[in-house]
Amino acid sequence: MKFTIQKSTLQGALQQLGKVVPSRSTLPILSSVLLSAKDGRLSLRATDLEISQIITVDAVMSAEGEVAVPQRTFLEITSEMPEGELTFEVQKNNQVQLTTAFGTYSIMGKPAAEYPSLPSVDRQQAVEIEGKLLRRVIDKTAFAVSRDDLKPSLMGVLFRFQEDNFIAVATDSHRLVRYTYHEPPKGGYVGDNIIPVKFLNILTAYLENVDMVTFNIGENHIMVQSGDTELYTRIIEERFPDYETVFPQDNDKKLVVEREEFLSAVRRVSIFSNRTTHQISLKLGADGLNLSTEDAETVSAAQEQVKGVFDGEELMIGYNANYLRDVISHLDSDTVKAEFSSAVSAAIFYSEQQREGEELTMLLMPIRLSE
Amino acid sequence: MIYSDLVWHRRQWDQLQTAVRAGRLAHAHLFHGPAGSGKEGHALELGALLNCRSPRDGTACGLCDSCLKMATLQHPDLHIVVPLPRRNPLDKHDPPLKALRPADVQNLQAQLQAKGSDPYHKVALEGAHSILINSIRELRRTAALKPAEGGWRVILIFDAEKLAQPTPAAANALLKLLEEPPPQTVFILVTDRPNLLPPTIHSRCLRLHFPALPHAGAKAYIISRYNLDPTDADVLIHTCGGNLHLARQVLASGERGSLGGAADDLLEALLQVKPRHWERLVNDLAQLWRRQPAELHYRLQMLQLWFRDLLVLSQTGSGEKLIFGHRREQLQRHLDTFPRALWGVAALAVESGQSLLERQVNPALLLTNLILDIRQAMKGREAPRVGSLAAPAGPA
Repeated sequence: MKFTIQKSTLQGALQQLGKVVPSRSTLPILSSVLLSAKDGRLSLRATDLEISQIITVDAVMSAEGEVAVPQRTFLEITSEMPEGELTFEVQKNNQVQLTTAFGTYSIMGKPAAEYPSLPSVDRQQAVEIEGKLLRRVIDKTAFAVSRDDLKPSLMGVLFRFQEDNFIAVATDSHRLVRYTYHEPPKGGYVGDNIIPVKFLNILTAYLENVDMVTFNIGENHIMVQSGDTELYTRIIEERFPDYETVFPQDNDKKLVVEREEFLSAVRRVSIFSNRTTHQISLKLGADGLNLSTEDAETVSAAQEQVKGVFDGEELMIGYNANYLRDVISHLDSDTVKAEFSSAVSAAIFYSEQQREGEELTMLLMPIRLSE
Repeated sequence: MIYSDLVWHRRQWDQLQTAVRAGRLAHAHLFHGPAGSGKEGHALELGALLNCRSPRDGTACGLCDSCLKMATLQHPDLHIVVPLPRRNPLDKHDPPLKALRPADVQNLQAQLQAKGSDPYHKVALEGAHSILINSIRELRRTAALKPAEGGWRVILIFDAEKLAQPTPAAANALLKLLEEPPPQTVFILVTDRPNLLPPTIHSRCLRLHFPALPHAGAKAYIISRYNLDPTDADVLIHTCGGNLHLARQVLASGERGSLGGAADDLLEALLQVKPRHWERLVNDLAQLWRRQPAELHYRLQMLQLWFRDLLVLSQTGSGEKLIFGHRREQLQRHLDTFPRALWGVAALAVESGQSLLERQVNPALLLTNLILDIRQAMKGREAPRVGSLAAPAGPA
C-alpha cells in the first residue's frame, strides 16, 4: 500500500474521525483508524462499535492495500508537519513509513483483518432529507433527549417517517419536543427509528452547506451519506412511548409573551434559585407573568415581572428553571405562546408564528411548589 | 470450538447445547462452582456457539468470521463485565473505564487478550474489589441498541459476586435488565461464590454447577500448556484440587526453581519477626490485602501448601509427592528446627484464615491471630484462635 496525499487533507480527515474514536476501550484496535486504498481513492474508517464513520479523500495511489494505524499518534504527526505532500507506505509487518520533504517517520500499524467489519445496511430503504432541515430537526430536538439508561428508548430521537409527513420526537419524561414537517421526505420509506443522540450530534457537523442527505435504513443500522462522509449507527431497539396521548387537549389558560424578554428574565431569576431543584415559580395573571424564586439555603430570592397577555384564571406554577430556559431558547419566533391547565399538569409551549411547513411544539411538566 | 485446550464439562455442555439446538436457551444463566473449573471458558464457548455461522458437533466451528472475533474477544456483540478498580471519581453518566488510569486500561486490554488465548486465565486488576455500577449502566445503554452483527448479544459477567460488593448497587441495577432482557440476548453470570449474590439475582437466572475439574483433564491442560513432567503435574493438580487458576498462579510465580519462594519468605518473616516489629508486619500484610488481595491469597495458599509439604515430609520422610521438592533442603531445615510442630494444624489455620478474609473481618486482627496460631502450632500447641473469630467457642 502506497499513496501520496496533501497533509491538510489527511489531517482534516483524522481530526473528524477523532470524534468517533473512543478515548478508552477494552479493544485496543478501536484506537486505530483503518486506511483503505482502492480504485484511486483513500478511505479512512473509525468506529466505537456503536457509531462508524468513513471519510473518502483524494490521494495519488501507487499501490492498493489496507492497514490500521493509531489515530492519535497519526494525527499528532500530521499536525506537526508543514503544508505539503506526504507519502504513506506500508512496509513489512504493517510497518508504516511517512515521507515528507523534511524527513521520514515510522509508525507501527496493525493488520486490517483485526479491524471490526463495516456494518451492513440494506440500501433499498432510503429517505432523502434536506441537509438544512435535518440540522434544524436535530437542533430543536436533541436537547430534550434523556440520559437515563433506565429508559433506553428515550436516549435517542424518534424519527417517524410517514406517508404524508415526517415527525421527530425527543423526551426525557420531564419535557417533550415534537417537530412535524408537513411534507413527506423523498424515498417512500415509512417507519419509526430511534436514533442515538450521540450519532445525531456528530452528524450535525456534516450538514452545513449540504443540499440533500440520504438515510439508508437497515435492519440494525442506519447509514447517512453526506458528501464524502458516511456515518453508521446502531438503532435503539426499544418501543418509543406513545407521546401523542400526553399532549393535553384542554389547556384553557393561554399566555402570549415576548420570547427574548421571557428568556432573559428566566435566566436572571434562575441565578438565585436552589442549586439542586432550580425551582422558579410563575404567577400568571392579567398583567402577564411574575417570575420568582427563593432559596432558603443561601437566603437568596429574586422576582421579575414580564409583560404579556394572559387569558384565563390566575395560576401559580413551578418549573425547573433549566428546563424552562431550554424550552424557550429552542423556540424561534419573537413571541411565545403557552397553554396551561393547572399547577400540576403539563403545559404546551410553541412559537406564535410557526415556520412554513413545520410545527414545533414543546411540552413541559411542572414541579410541585413547596409550601 | 474457540479454545483448543478447554477441559470440557460434558454433562453441563450437553445441557447447554441441547437448549441452543431446541431454541429454548434461558436468557440468563448463573455458572457457579469452584475457582479454576472452566466456567468462564464454557461461557465464552456458548457465546461463540450462539453466533457461529456453521456449528459442528454441538460446538462452534472456530473458523468462521464470528468465531475468530469471539476467540479474540473482539466480537462487537460480546460484552464482558469484570470488576474494576475505582482510581478516578465517576459521574453517573461516565463510562466505567474512566475510573481507570491509562496503565490500568492497558493492563485490562492485555488481560482480555490473554483470556482469549487461555480459558483459564483470570482477568484480575489490582484493587478491583467490585463491579462498578457504571459498568451496568453502560450495559443497559448498549443493550438497548440493536446487535451489531444481527446475531446473539452475549453478556458475560465475570466474578459476578462482586456485583454485590461492597453494596448491592450494581446487582440491583442489573435486575431490570435480567427481568426484561432485550431480544436475542443471553446473560451469563460467572461466580465462585454464588452465596454472596442476592436472592433477587439467583431467582432470575438458571443455575448451572461446574464442579472441580477431573484430574485427567486438568493434568492434560497443564502438560500441554507448560510442558510439565507428568509426575509434577499430578502433584500440582492434586494439591490445587483441580483449580487451574491456582495451578497457573503457582507455575507463573516464577521459574520452577523459585516455586515456594513466596511461602518460604512469608514463613521466615512470621518466624523471625521481633515483638517490636510485629505491628509493622501485620500492617504490611493488611495493606497488601487491601491493595492486592489476590497477592495475599496467593501467598497464603503457598504457605498452606508449604505446610502440607512439611506434613508429608515429616510423615513419610520421602521427597516423593512434594510440591516443593526442589526446596527439600529448606523444608528439612524447618522440620529440624521445629521437631514438635503440628503441620496439619498450621495448614488448617491458614485455610481458615483465608476463608475468613473474604468476610467482613478486620484483616489486621485476623492476621495477628493467624500468626499466633501458626507460631503455636509450630511449637506443638493447638490454639484455634483464627476459627474463634468466626464462631464463639462451644461448651467445654
